[in-house]
Amino acid sequence: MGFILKFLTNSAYAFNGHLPIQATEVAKSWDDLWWFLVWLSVFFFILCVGGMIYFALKYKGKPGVKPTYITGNVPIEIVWTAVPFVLLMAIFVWGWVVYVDMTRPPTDAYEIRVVGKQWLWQFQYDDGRTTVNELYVPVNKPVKLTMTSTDVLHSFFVPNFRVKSDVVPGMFTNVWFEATVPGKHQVFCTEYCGTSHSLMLAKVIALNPQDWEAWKAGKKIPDQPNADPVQDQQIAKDVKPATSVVSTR
Amino acid sequence: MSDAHHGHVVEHPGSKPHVVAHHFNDADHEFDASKQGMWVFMVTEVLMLGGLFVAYAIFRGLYPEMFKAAHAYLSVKMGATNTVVLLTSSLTMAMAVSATQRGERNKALGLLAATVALAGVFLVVKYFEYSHKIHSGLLPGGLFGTEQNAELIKNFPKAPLFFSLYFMMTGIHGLHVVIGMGLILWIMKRTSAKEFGPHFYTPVELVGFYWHFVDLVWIYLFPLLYLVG
Amino acid sequence: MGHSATGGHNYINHEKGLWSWLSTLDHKRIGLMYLFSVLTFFLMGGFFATLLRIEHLTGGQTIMDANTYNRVFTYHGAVMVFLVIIPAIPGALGNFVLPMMLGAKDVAFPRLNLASYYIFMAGAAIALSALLFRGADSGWTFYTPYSTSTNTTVILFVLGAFVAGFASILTGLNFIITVHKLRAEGLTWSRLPLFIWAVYATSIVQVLATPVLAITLLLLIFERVAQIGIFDPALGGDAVLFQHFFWFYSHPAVYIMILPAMGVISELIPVFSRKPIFGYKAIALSSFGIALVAFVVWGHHMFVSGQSEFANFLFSIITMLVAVPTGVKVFSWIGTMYKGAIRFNAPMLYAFGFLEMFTIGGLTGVFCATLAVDVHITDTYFVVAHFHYVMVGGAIMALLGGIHYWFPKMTGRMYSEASAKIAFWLVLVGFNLTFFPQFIVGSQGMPRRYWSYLPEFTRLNQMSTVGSWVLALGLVWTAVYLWRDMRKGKPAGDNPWEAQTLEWQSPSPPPHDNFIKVPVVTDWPYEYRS
Repeated sequence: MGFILKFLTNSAYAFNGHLPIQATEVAKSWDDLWWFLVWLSVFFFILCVGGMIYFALKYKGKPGVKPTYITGNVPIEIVWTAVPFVLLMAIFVWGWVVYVDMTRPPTDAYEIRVVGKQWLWQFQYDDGRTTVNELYVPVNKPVKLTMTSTDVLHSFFVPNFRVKSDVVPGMFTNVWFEATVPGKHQVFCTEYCGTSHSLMLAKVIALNPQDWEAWKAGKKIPDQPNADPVQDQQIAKDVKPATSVVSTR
Repeated sequence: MSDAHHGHVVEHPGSKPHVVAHHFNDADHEFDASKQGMWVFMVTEVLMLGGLFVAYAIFRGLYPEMFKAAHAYLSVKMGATNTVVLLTSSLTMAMAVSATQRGERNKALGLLAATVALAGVFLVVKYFEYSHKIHSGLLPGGLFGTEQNAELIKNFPKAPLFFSLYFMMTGIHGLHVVIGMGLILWIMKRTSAKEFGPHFYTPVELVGFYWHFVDLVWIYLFPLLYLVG
Repeated sequence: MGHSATGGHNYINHEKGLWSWLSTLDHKRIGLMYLFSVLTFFLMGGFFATLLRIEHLTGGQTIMDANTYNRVFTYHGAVMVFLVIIPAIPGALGNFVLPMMLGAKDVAFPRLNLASYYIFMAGAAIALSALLFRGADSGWTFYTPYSTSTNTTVILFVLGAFVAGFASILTGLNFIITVHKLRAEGLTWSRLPLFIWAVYATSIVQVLATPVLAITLLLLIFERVAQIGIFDPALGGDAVLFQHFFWFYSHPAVYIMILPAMGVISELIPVFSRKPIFGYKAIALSSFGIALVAFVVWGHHMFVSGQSEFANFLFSIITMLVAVPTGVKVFSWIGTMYKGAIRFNAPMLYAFGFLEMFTIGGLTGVFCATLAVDVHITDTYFVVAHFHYVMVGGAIMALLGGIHYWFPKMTGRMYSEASAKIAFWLVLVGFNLTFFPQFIVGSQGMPRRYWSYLPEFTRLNQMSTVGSWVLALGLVWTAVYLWRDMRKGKPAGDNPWEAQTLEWQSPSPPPHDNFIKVPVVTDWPYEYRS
């Protein structure tokens, strides 16, 4: 299974199945729920489709073989109504609990304002400073983003953090995260917003305390690496660099 | 084997016979199905206009003071007049349907004509209302006359929203009135061609039903738009 | 193709000439016209899809620039949703089969039926005419404020959808009254074939939901024309309000797409297993359960839109409920095969394909309904894969199964099983190869509606594109051999499948009035004991 996933997914994320790296604690809870759902789905898929294939082959119509006249079976029907219902409610509860963790910011979170506009991201810090397409945050400290748009809908998505929210003109939305892995984390705009929707990319740059203090003081800091080093290696090995527009790497 | 859609034929002296469509058992079967179909259609109309009422409710909930201020620019007199006009037209329509059912063709024609005339009055009043608003720049967002209504805009910058809703709701209603007039004229034409009578009056009844619905919608629109606060 | 009892007369040779078709009141001819139109639009939408996938061979520009790409994905979505999947099974199969299955001579309102077809085509023409101008690049979901501010020909496009929606409403209305009023003697509600139950439930949804789309699109048009401000925050409106209005229709719309498909599968599996459907009552009732719940889950498309935590809670938990009746159906279909005598004709193959794809589609729906999970996967290719699995893997497989199943009844000829088997395997393999990688690439973070993508997503995208070529090959081959066999296939008998619903008690092709002698029903249509 690991080998197949490695092959299929450029092995960039091989150590975490195929998912992005876990760059927050919440990402770990999220991944647990994800893998539970994946394995549960595999189970039901084998049960249903496997059952279907098994029945198709075992009960293939042959001359002289009569089918059995069955119209239903109430106990079985009750079981396959009740069991999924219970499972689904359990899944809902688990999803709700993780969702609450993901979306309710701690009260001491460090606030940064975000403005999304066609087609860039602007970040405004508490000291009045602004950056474009690069969001600097300290590692291991909760950060809350208060976001709005000045034109159409956008959406702020950081896969490594498992964080996403639409960015809406006329109202404020927020997300929060506590980055545990330093380095550059990819940001995508993920609500269609016109021509350069797929080029409205940014980076969250999570800095170690030393670099964070330096950056806040306006000093120059060293170049930060990709938070997922395996990804960079794999890309360098595997894929030719895009010859036209794309990358902001 | 007949190649026409021929089914039963129902007749009444002095009127054209009505041929029941071949897939129905008899005239009653056809009439029942047609009535049921009309009810379902009315449900879809309720849902469509319902969307507008929901939008109204949302924005009134958000800006109650603005609604109160903006609605003062509507003429309650004209709105009330139109309410009376439409109610009367529903009466004449209902009477026209009864007359048709009893075979009183000329009476039916007269009542149908009265209904159309009253609908015309409604539209004339509407014309005066609309032209006054256009003249005063009281129009939806992009067309709103800000200078003409500086006071209103200063206190309630979102006021054009009210007029957006006003024009959309009364406009779509007005369109249904025009369509209704067309339908009634069509029924009048068929009535004078002696198609209807006690043996067959389905289209008259269904158009009557439509007309009552148009009236009913206005009964809701009038207080919500003209009598706010 | 002659049949002794009718002297060779059938609905096809009843009247000749193009005008006799264009002015027909015969539900069978109208059904065929819908079928022809819908399949043409399907090829059109598929063409747009093929272009999109070719563009995705590389992460940068491959064959088109971003503005073109944005238009092409808009056309692909709108054509497939409004001109293919919503009208397909009710308009094409429903129109042809429903009256016959009820033992009726036609639908309740034949003239309305013909009018519906023309309204549908008019809507299509209006929408597609936008392509002659600046096209449309808002996505088929037309979210504001982008759709109200972009300078493409959105109004025409939206107007087309508006008009076409009335065809959906009127067809639903027609079917409801037909089921109520034109059932043959002895055909009680508990003896109704499950296809009828499914189309009936669909018709109720069509009638209740589509009008809301109508007013939504109208509001959108007026927003563009007169800036009414309802969706514009600068004028006091609310950008997210559009999403509520839109999804209030569009979520039930996806059940308009899948319920009739489930109805087809409920007919195919008993016939080709030679056994009654397992759990008839549960399947009939579950169609209504799904139709009902469909109206109160629209917010699950908006979990990250900025709506309240409370709304998210409600929409997520209620969405979970929809999986219960859906699961009941899937288990019942598979249970029907138990101790059957299964025949592997093309319709049954498509039923198998449906089960594989719909199971994956349904299970991944649970992922999307789970609040925490959806935050990460919404607006990524995971969702794209999910809905293609249910819409294409579900609705289209059922459409293909139904077309093959009723092909002999409609044409009096058999399609070639050998040709069909080749097409089926191409479609099955091609479809899975196209869309399964998208689950992976989506959960890795690749957003949807992206013209360009980052290098790490390359390999899976290329795999998906190759899959799309295999799928396209299978579908085009299907069109080719069906067109061929329609005219030159072996003559089929009245009831080649030995099925028991009423349409099979009539010649293939049926006479103009559907039956030589209108049947009287004495039992349910799954009586396979004799």
